Amino acid sequence: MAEYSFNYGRAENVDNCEIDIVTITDIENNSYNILRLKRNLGVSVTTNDTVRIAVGSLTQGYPVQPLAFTNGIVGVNYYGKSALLRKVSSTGTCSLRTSCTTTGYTYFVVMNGNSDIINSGSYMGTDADAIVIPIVAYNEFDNKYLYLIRAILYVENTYTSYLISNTYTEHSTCVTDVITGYASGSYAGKPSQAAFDAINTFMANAVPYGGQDPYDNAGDSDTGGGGGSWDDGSDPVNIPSLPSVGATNTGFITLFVPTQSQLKQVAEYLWGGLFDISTYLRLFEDPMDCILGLSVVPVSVPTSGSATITVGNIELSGISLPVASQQYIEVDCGSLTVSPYFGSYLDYEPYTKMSLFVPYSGVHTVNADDLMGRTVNLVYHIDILTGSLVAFLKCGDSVLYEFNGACGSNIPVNSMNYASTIENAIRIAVNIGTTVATAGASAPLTGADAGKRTAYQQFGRGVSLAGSTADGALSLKPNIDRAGSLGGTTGLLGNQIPYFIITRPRLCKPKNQNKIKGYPAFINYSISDLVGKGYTEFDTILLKNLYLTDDEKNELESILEGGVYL
Amino acid sequence: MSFNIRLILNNSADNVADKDFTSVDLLSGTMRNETSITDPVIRIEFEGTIPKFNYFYIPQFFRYYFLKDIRLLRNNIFEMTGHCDVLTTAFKLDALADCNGIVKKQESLNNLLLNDGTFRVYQNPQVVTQLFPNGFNTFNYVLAVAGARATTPI
Repeated sequence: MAEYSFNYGRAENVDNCEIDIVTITDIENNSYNILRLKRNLGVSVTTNDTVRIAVGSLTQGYPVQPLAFTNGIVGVNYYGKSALLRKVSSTGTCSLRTSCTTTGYTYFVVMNGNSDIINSGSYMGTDADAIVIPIVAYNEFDNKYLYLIRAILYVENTYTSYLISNTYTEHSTCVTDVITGYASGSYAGKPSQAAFDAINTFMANAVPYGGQDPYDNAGDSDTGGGGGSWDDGSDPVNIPSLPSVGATNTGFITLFVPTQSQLKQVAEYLWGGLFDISTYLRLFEDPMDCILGLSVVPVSVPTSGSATITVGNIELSGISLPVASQQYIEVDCGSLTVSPYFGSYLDYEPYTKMSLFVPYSGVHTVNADDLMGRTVNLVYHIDILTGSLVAFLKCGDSVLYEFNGACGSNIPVNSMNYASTIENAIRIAVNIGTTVATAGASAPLTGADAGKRTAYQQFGRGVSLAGSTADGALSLKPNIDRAGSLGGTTGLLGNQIPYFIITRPRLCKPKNQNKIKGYPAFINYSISDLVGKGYTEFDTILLKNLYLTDDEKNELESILEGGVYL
Repeated sequence: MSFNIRLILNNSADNVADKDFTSVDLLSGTMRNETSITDPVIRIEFEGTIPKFNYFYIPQFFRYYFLKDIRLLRNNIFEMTGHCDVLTTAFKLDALADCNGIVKKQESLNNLLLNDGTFRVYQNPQVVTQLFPNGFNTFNYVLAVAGARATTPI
């Protein structure tokens, strides 16, 4: 016995009703659900309501006949002492057939779709203890209706559901035959198993309803999309101006830009006998406490005059140093145009990959899609006090990348500075070592030591995968970090000019490929536009006004889609 | 029914619409048996050496045909089987020029920014570098000292 499900899609349109679903087990021990409505809730249907409820009929006590209606509801009380019947006629009127006075439930089954329920024109039996409920469910997938003609056998406050027929068909035949047969007395009274079997046989060709769609709550699909603005406008993001406030503006710090000889003078003064250490020590423990830092920066620092250097309120008389006029300095590395090489999609990701070496920051992966065909400009903003920097990569009208780094190479002027410098140098060296190890792992290793074998095994699978598919080879190739963080002293030792590293594919193009196989177009053309233009392959062709036979048109369509010379 | 068959030597590929023809003979006669118009089977009487041809045109059928098969039945009687070349027939005799469609690939009217898998690439890519015009070439010491600058700029 196939299992059937109902479609409850319209149940929400039954106003003012409490609806729940009861599961009734039939004699085959299959479970079926029936909608149960509390009958005394004043079911109402408005004239414009789209509620469609199937019919129930009663065979106990007060007989009720099935009703004919187009849109409406019918309920029956299974005690049979009274029934609530409302119907909505095809003209939209709503009438109350009788009132509900007793307790109990009224059974309804929701039916979707505009379907007539046949009026049998006869009363049911008067002393049967069963309710027969033609159940109608609508399968929205194929516009067919499922009918389950059920008998609810009520004995001593328990009921059992008997499936006496089912079909899955256009509604008219099923309902007409079954209900007419019932009304004619064939199944009047307590339905016998034989009667059920007879109707089941009658419905032998029933096609099972596939079950309730678990995605019903998702709603039906609908048209949509479109309405986009197609506004290609883009707000430019410019390189910001340098900060207007900094540490030097506070008066707590002075930045000098000494020459090498001037620095020697300072050192000789501080460590020679000229420095009044006794005066200084009243204020500080160490003269170097007042030297906040000495560094080498890779920029020309503008100055505004010179001044005598003062260390802890003690003037180093006779030593005048140029004073930096600004803490933040902009360095423009100029512009260049990233020109397409192929003039095709191969110039873009994932086929072409680009990295940018940014001095004092390292090598950064950039997206070729952002840069291709554009003029790019790299500008640094450098804080000469801390050595921190930000490099702005402007692509076209907007800054698309910002890289940070450090360019100040600190020169130790006391033991604490020295320790800090060494520590930083070690940390940077470890970072670089890790990066180099990662990059090197992609190359085949020939060494026999265990460490190298492990590295080879670890990365060998990636290399194998990359080689397995020719077209996807580039996209599968590993991205290698070409340099780690190159800041401070390590940056000073590295390259001082930024550059792009461009990895582009090498095109494998047979001679005359365009003449033999064409190049991608996906453009709508009239055939007259293509005469004399060589090889043409259609994706779709609309053939019209041809006297060819149908088979010939199909053949011509196939030929045009296979490629022709017009 | 008076009937003409132009025997042709087709010098072009089958998928060329405007084929390069060399007309080799013109046969005239009468159709005595029924035959398909799209796949005609025609018996011809031909005295002497049959010319080299691989294509024919029947103006009464408004069609060009590929010569699919030719058989010698008996002396001077040949049976040739054709299949309509719908491409050339439509191109030369019909309104194919008015038809339009979405062109998937084209020899000269194309867009190389479309990636439809047409192109293959070698496994070994090319790596190049491109320098910015300027870099860092000047270095300065910066000495940071606590406190304000000296009062007397020189």
